[in-house]
Amino acid sequence: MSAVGSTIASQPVPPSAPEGGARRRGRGLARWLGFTVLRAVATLVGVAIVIFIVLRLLPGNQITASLGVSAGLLTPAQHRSLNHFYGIGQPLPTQFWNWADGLLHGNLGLSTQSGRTVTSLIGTALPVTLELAILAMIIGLILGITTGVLAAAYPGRFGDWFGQTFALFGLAIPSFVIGAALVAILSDVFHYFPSSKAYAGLFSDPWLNIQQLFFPALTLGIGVGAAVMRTTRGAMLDVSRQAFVRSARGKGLSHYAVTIRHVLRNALIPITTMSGIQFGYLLGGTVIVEQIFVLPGLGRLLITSIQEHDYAVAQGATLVFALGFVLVNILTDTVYAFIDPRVRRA
Amino acid sequence: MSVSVGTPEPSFDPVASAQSSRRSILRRVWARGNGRAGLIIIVLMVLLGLVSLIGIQPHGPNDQQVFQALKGPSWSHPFGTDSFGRDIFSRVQHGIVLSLEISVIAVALCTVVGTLAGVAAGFLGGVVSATIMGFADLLFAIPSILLALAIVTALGPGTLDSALAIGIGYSPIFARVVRGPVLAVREADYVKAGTVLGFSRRRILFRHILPAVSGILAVQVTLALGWAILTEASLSFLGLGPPPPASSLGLMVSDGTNFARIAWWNLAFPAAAISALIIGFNLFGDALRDVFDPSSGRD
Amino acid sequence: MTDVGVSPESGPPGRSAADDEPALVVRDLTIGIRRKRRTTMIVHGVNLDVGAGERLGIVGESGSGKSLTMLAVMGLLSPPLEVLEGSIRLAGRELVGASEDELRAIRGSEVAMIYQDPMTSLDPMFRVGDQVAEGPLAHGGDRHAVAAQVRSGLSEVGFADPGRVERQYPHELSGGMRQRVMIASALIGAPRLLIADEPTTALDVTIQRQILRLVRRLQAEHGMAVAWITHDLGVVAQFAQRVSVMYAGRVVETAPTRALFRAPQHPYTAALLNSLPTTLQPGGRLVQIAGTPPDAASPPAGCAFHPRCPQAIDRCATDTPVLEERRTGGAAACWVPPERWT
Repeated sequence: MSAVGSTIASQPVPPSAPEGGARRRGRGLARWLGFTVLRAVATLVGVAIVIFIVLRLLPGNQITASLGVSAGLLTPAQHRSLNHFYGIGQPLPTQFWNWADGLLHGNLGLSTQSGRTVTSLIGTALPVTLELAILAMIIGLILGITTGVLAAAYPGRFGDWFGQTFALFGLAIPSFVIGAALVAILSDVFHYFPSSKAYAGLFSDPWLNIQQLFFPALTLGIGVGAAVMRTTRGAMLDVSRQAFVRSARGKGLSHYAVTIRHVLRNALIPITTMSGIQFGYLLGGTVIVEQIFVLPGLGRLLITSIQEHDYAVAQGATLVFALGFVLVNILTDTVYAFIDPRVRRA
Repeated sequence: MSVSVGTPEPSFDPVASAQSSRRSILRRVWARGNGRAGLIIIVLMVLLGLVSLIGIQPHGPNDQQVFQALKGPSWSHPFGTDSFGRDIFSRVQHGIVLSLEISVIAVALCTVVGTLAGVAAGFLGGVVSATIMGFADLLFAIPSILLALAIVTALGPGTLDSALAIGIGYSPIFARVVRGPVLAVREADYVKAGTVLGFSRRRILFRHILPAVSGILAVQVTLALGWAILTEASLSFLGLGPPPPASSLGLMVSDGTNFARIAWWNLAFPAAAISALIIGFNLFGDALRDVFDPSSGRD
Repeated sequence: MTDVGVSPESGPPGRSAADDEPALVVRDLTIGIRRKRRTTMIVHGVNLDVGAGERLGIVGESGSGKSLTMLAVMGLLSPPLEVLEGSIRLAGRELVGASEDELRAIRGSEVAMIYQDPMTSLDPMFRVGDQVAEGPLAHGGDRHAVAAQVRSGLSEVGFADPGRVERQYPHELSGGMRQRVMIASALIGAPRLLIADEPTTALDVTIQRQILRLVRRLQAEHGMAVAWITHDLGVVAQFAQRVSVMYAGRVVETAPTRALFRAPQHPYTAALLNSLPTTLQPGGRLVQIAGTPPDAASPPAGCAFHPRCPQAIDRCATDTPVLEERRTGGAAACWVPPERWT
């Protein structure tokens, strides 16, 4: 899903560091890690509760959904045993507790549609989505940062104009439009149907795998690239106005050295923030793109499970998405600590 | 020492922006290339849709002329016909109206909810703020389309339900964005002076804090409209929007992909309509943002 | 080093005699913005000299053009500002019209600059030692030699433990320490001329004195020239051998420090000195200069100071005065000599 929220990017304010805090370095890092994990866990628990409740609002219940019309033919006794099996009819908190307990033991329940365990369903689908997301992120970052740096280096000239137009369209045109157009062009003009073959895992048939994933990743990557490009350009221009850039020039450094060593390095902070946000949108975007390109990923699994009222699968899949998002947040924070020395010392 | 010529560019100053007059802002937005383009696009598209409500359309959007099915663009059917022989131009017009309807409701919802939450969090601070922001973070953690998906599936497809689903998804962004200026203004010296002088909280809220927020709110509402249109189209693309025979643009794109080889106009025109709408709002929103916050990095 | 350049006799009056080549000779420097319809000038025909190893103070209010002039010397004017006219000779080498490569070669090695705000003048991402080493490395220095130079440079500016400091990040240092790092950075290239753009304005007074004394000592040890920009006459009195006073983008007076303080030749200088609280009786009122400084881009006709000048005559409103030699050993740009002041 292409993202419009470039205004959301908020700069992290580096916490003021105590002078001579070298001794506290180790302790500070451990404390920061602890807080981060705690926050992540709290978020996940909250997400789990929200999803649980929302799904329970669905009209109809698992049994009728899975059995369809024939549900009406069940005897009360059969109904009761099925209820018990799927945990329906018990008070909500009990259901939640049972589920959470199972979760902690690695048991996410059974799919009412396929009978497979949720864990195995997710296990098959997750690598696809993961690969798609990572590939899309890489494409987006390469596209975005290079065009952004070029646009900032020659403001007002062709590179800038081109970059900004790319950003405009990349952000505005929905990913499903890009995806649908790509599919149409590839199949009708180039007669190229990599998705007509069964999905190939990365390790079973790398070439086919890349072919199948490249265009979906490109579709998502364009949205990411557009947002990253804007942030890069803006950040580069902002940083160039800072006093230390003038200091660097004043020492006789070449334009190239100043731009790459000083400007880009500092610009990486807002770029990282935006990348983290984009990854969130990316996860949502996989839902659409997997539909269009017929990929057996988590997004597709999620849609089908919601439409079929397959609670357990829907919950599990959403939880995995949320977990992914939370992990990306942690990763982003880690990257900050890696890039910005001011963050490390807190 | 700064070497910039003339006055240095101010970063977003909610205190100062509270004093800009509305007319001068519109004029400044119009002066910018992207503002002009965005506004023109929005007006054209909205008019295109609205005139269909008073009857200015080539055919009824649901009139099926089976013998005219899948015909290309022509004088009687400017955008061609679909597989049921329906005129795509009229359907696009209605699709625009539908999109706008849902988006406006959704944005109205999330503006109200988000602004209330943000103002409360910023103004009251402490536990209230922590709770609200924590909740916002939670909603953030769930990719918004998943949230919209779940809600639409729970409530069933339809106009209002889509609007609700989309609106809830964007509220945390409003809350976050609004909270910042509220905090900034609350800490401003003139507000503190007011408190010392005995101004009631309500007075401070309405006469000082809200005007400061209005600038950033205008920007966010515009961007939110663009986002809402995009999400609505995505949802209806997945089959979760207003059900047929409603002519929602996303659904038209979805159907259009099936006929792309033999009737490209089924895909192209609805897709172009969606894109134009979103581009228009994005451009306009960008121009608004440039006017309110010149330091946002665009020269 | 190209040609020899300006000889002592042809320079403007007021310069102290020097055997060596002058570190800096600025003539008729005009800086502004060239637009399609009109050109706006901000610095109008500035003349400045800094002799080899000399300490020059440049005094002026905000907006007088003093920083711009020095940034032009470094070639660091940010577009659309540019040098419209004039000549800048650094140790005899003409800088106006020089290529970016040539300018880059002299930055950090022949001329170095330290800036007003030590808080933001260092890159927060890099260690302090790396930033000091950057300049010489960019000019082709050997890594080990430069590393040793960094350490000795840091020790020279007063750090007791250079090995520790060089591994620290800017945010771990105080303002005064950062300014010392900047000085070390500037000095490491052994420049002929050090430009100091109000380096102590952002620091508290005790640190200010330390920095002043440090620069004075280093200047004497290295034999380099220093151009110290300030708005503070106290700094000038403690530091400078000669002073140039700027107003509205022009130099209005140049003189040896003592002469300037004892016998100012320009009403503006006199007014500045008059406003110093030290000349006040207890209970007396602080003296101001009436009016406000003009916009340097559109100064009043004739002498830019005339609307605020207690000595102004009719001619001041029409003819712009130029720097003329005075008996005290300096030069001033004024139509009314001190004898005729009221």
